[in-house]
Amino acid sequence: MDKFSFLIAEGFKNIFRHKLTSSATIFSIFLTLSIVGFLILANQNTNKIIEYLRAKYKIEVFFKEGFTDDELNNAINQIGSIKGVRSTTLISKKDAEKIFKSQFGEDIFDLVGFNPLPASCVVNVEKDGIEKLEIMPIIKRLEMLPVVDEIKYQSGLISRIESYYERFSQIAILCFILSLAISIFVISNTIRLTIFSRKNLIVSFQLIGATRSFVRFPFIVEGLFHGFFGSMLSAIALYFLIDYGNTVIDDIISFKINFDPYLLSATLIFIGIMISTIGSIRATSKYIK
Amino acid sequence: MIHLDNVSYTFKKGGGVTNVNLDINESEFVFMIGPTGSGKTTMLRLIYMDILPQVGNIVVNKFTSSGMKPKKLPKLRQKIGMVFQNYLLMNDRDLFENVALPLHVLGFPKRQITELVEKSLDEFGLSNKVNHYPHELSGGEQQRACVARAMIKDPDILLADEPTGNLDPVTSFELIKIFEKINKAGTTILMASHNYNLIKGRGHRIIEIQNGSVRS
Ligand SMILES: Nc1ncnc2c1ncn2[C@@H]1O[C@H](COP(=O)(O)OP(=O)(O)OP(=O)(O)O)[C@@H](O)[C@H]1O
Ligand SMILES: [Mg+2]
Repeated sequence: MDKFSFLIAEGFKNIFRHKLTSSATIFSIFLTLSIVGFLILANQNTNKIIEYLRAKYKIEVFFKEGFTDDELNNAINQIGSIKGVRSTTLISKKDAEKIFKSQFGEDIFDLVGFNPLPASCVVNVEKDGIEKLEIMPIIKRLEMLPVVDEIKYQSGLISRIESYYERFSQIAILCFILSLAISIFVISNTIRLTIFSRKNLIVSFQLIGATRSFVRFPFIVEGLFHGFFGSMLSAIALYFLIDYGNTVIDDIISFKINFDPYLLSATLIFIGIMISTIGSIRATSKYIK
Repeated sequence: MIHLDNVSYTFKKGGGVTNVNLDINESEFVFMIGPTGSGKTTMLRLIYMDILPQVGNIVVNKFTSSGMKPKKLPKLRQKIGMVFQNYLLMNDRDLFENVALPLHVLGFPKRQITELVEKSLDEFGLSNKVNHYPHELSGGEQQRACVARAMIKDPDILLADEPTGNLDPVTSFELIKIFEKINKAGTTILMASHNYNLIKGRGHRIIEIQNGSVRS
């Protein structure tokens, strides 16, 4: 018990005994994990952007004349059950008439003597949970319905946005993986250098009879602390960065960077502690005989 | 207690010891003298098994060098106090913490450690240097700190490599007397030195080493 508390205390004292190398380690964890955290957020928010755009996609379906309301409602239900459709809004002949009046200020009856406006339906597509939205299968299904006369949609625009999004999110994930790999590399090399500078101490410890675990334990405590502290700092820095970013963006468009500070901190701290502790254990093992 | 059987060790670049046979009994006090470069430090390193013999066999306190596993070394060394020629004090902690370290390794309770370390530092005239770091101590003070660290755990065997090398004659003589006292209490001592005058005529066994071989 005395030995255990000594070894814990040893770990914490070592942080101050080796201030310079400790700060170097913490700083490298802080710096690299800030980038990792930033890319995690970027990945999360590309979804937000595409969801925002997809909410604006719409397919207008015009119905043929001569179908009863029941038949149209039936068709609407069928459309609603097509895969990829989020919602449908029926615009009956009467509704169309009202819309015409509100837009042009004149009654269509007075102009042509009857209501030539067809009933139609606005189809909104699914906006989240999909990698790439395929619009064509939906259109094909719509065309197969007997009540459908004409379909209007921005086919070129949608497919361009979708394929940009696909490429963009692939690149974002790649950047994230790359930044994680670089972090592991930079952090473990920093740790390796700092422990190299204490090589002689490790040897001396063993010469006076310390067991391997006795030598290693304080390094693990240090590793845990460095990882925790460095990643905590990066989470705090990102929090303020986003807070500031949100006020700036909010002034331009009404879009908020979406993030959960607790989840972000937990993720970064987990990554930080893992890399730092494993790095410490591996680096120490090199000098422990 | 210490038994070397036809031991040889040659460094890659030459030097070392050859065909050494040596027996040191429990509670013996043995001086090892020899000119610089003759192999004294190498002998001591072999005994605390920092290096293992290429030929022959060493037995120390029931630990045998042949087939020695690194895992068992701490157990061997925990019973041995070592005064290194180059001190090997931990430069990241103060004198008190340096001397206390072997007791922490053995898992002594904190209160007892404080007591023992204070007593020991007092004995070696270092009480006023408790919070000094190794680089804030003089050469002789570092040497005494190293001796204090070796003796703090009351070892079965004390291996001292030139422990008076940096001390004035009076302090050297005092140190020999301290060694004799713990030797009376049962500690086996092997001390390497060039200083024949310091050790002659005190009734202890003297072994002479020259060019890596023991001459009796
Ligand atoms: N690590 C080493 N690598 C190569 N050669 C070594 C090494 N250590 C010692 N030697 C050589 O082995 C020989 C014996 O060295 P050792 O250190 O045992 O001498 P010593 O008797 O302790 O000398 P001193 O009185 O100066 O301390 C020397 O010739 C030295 O050059
Ligand atoms: Mg020597």
